[in-house]
Parts: sequence; structure tokens; C-alpha cells
Amino acid sequence: MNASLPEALRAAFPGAAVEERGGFGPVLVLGGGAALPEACRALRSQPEFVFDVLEDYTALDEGDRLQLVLHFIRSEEPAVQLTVKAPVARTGEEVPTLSGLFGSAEWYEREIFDLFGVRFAGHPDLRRILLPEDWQGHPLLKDYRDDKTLHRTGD
Amino acid sequence: MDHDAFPDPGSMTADLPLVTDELTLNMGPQHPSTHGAMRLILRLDGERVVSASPDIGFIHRGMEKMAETLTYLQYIYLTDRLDYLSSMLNEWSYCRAAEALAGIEVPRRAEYLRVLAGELSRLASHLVWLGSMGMDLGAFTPLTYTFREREMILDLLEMLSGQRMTFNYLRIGGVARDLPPGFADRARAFLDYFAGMPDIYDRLLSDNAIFLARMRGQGRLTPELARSHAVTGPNLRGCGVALDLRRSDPYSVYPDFDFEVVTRPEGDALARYRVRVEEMRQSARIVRQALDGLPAGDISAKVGRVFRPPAGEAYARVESSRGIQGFYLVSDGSTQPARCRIRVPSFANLSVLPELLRGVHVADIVAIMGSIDFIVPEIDR
Repeated sequence: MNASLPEALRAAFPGAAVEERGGFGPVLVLGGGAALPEACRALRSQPEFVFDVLEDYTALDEGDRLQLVLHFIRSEEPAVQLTVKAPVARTGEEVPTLSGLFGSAEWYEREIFDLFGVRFAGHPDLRRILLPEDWQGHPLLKDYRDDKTLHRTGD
Repeated sequence: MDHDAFPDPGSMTADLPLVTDELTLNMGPQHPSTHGAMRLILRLDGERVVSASPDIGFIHRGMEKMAETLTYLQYIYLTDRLDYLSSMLNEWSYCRAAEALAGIEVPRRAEYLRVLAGELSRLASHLVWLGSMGMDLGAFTPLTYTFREREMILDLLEMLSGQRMTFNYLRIGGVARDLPPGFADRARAFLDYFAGMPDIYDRLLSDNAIFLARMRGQGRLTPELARSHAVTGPNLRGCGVALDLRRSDPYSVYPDFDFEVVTRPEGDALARYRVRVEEMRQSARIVRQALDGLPAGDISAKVGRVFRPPAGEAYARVESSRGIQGFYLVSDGSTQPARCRIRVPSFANLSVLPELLRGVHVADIVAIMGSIDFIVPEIDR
């Protein structure tokens, strides 16, 4: 574990908060979803980081807003981990896609769109991925209500 | 009969250039080579694949949402239903995440039992893969060998947990039961028997000219492409990247064990095959060391009957049979997770398939798909 990683993060991202906790590396908290592409580009290419694998990308429903959560790792030694968080509004806010930077983002973003309803601007193929395309609502939102019937409008 | 009424076939086509239409073909959701309900939408130009687009979600069960309605303890058995071929490993990453939330220290004996169960699970999973990989290419015999050995492992795991496949053996803080009487002897007898088996599989498949011709050079994955798509596990190690969490981010008691992280530089289907066969040998080595070095002590930490971790979050992973498998748990201080995100290796591993299939022959789709070794229940969740 690179002891100076939190400092390097603070130097590279003066506008963002860096939290240190046990477990999966430090947490870089960005101001919003719009800052993601630039931050991810820097994290991937700057020699002090080289987080070249977007291991996971998901979201949390925090009630008043959603939180995008990205887990990065470095594939070469020393293996280092990093969590990036970016808050987005519950509705209406478009987040720029990361699919041009990381191949894995394309499907992860489709899943976040499917289950949380976050729209990604510039995504090449933003469709539902797990649920049927005519499903109503986004099940991982806390206010999603399941009335035990299939929400089908097609056929 | 007046044969002159029929025009000469040659005269109809001689002057016309050969034009082929692009054909859209559904492979699956019910197809033997998709190993579960998964559809591949193929656009074909003759025998060549123009594009391949996986369609997933046919068995989506809402497992992440379900976690929000169950207690932490009630959820363990559901994790068995993700990658059902290596259930112990799913349980492991889930329990590790819950333990990280609550700051629980797992006793060493329990960690050894987890390694034992986890590596047997990995071995069983690779055996299923090897058998079905051969069968995908028309070689039926290896399956009869690998399933025979796998059944012996399942018997062992049944002794341990009471179940053949959906074990529900791990607990937050440890494991459910200690080794039953006779288990160690039986496991050692199995390892003695199994020691020569990978060589036999090698003779069945690796020395087979047809198998080699169909695997070598197929589905070539570059390290750059693999990293970009977050491909992990034997698929990543098959293109020369030595990322194995058991070594690169050591968890549990893996530092106690002597084993090699297997890599191959080629990145093709054959390299992935060779990595998995060698990983079987390594898993068997670890199992033997775990049996020999099993320390005395408790099999579980003291965890109250009601598991209520403090508010916070934890992301814990293990090196599963197919790559990095992790649980990201968010606690609001209640007995149920506020969010349970499941990071599965097959989801990312499958996302690279369209890149690997572009331009290949139709006949090679099955070989490339099989060599990726994805499993649908963990993709769909």
C-alpha cells in the first residue's frame, strides 16, 4: 500500500475530499458526476496513480441524492485500490459516460441506468441490461414499490 | 417429360456477382454452449461474425434488492446461488464484507477451513469447466472424467456442509461446522488419487491435434483490452497479467501457503485452458497444506445472535474461480444491509466477448465463449 497515495490524491484533486479508512484504499469524493471523466483520465494515466482497471461501478440511493461509487485497482504491482464517489441528483441530472475510457464502464453504466435510472450522456448504447426493456421504474431506488405484478406495457 | 422447360442453372448465375445478405441470428437463450439462459445476437456475413451482442438478464432475480429485505445472516444462503459452481467462494466474500463492517476477527482454524472449502470449490468449478470446454468442441470423454472427480469433491463438501452444491457453510465470523470425523483421511485419499489426473486430462485434450487447432490463437485477449474491460481471473492471467488476489492483495491465511500464480503470455483460448489446468494442481497443493497445517481452536468468532453492524460501508473481495468476486455492503446500523452490491467476475469478463468475436468464424464462437468460462446466474444476479 502506497502510504503517500492520499497526499498524491489531495495534490492532484484540490477541489475534492479525500477520506482514509481501512479496507479498500482511500476514498476520493468528487463534487459531482460531471467531474468524473477528467478525474478518471488522470487516475488512469498519471504515473503516481495508474489505476488502470475500473473493477466496479455502482450507485447508492442516499435519499436526497444518489451517489455513484467506483472501485479502481491497479493491475500491476504494487496492487493499490481506490474508491471514487460522485453525488448526482435523483432525477434529471445527466452524467458524462466513462465508456470511452474504460470498456467495463459501458455495461456498468447500463446497469446503473437500468436499476437506478441515472442517464449517461454520450453512452453508445444506453439500454436496460438486466430487466426487460419495457420495465417500469428502477428497482434499486429506495422509493421503488413492487406491487408483485409484472410491469409490462408491450405485447 | 419436357426437360427443355427447365433453364440451365449455370446460365442463371454465371453473369451475376455473388451477393450475400447479412444475417441476424439468435444464439440462445436456450443453447448448450451458453451454459445457462443467455442470448447472443449475431450478425453474420456468410461464415464470418460481423458483430456479436450478448443479451443478459433472463434469470435476473433482483438479488441486490432482496438483500435489503433480509437480515445479514439470512442472505448467506442466497450467495450460493450466484456462481453455483463455486458457492463457497461467494459466501466467503460476503462474510468478509460483513466481518469488515462489524470489525470481526475470524479465528485461524476457521480461516483454514474456509481455505480448504474454497479451494475444493475452485477445483470442482475448474473441473466442470474443463469437461464442458471439451464437450463444446465435441470431445465428450473428458467430461466423464472430470465429473467423476468433481463428484468426489462434492461428496467431501457434503460431508462438511450437508449440501452438495448450495452449501451455506460459512458464517459471519467463521464457519458453521468443524471437520466431521474421517474427513481429513478421505480428503487426503482424494488428493492422492487426484495427483495424477491433470496429466490424464492433458493427454486427453492437450495432445489432441483437433483440440489444439481449435483453441490455439482463438479469442486472443490483449492485456490492454483485458484491463479496459476489468477482465479478471484465469482470463487475465492467460494474457500474462499476474493479478491474483490471493497473492496481490492477500486475505485470510493465504500467506501461509506455498503455491504459484499461474500465468501464460499468449492470451488465446489455449492459454486460458492451460492456466486453469495448472490452477487445479495449485488448488490441490493448497488443500493438502491446509489439511496438514490446520490449527486447533475455535471455528467461529463470538458473534451475537442478532448481527447488527455499525453504520458504515465495506467492500471485500476474494479471488473466485472466475476472477474478482466482491460484495460492497452499506450498513445503516440496522440488521439489514442498506445496499448490497455484488461485483461478479463473469459480468465484466462477458463484456469483452463482442471484441473477441468480431471477425471470427461461426464455428469458433463456441470455443471462444467456452474459454471465457462465464456463468450466467452470477451475471444476472
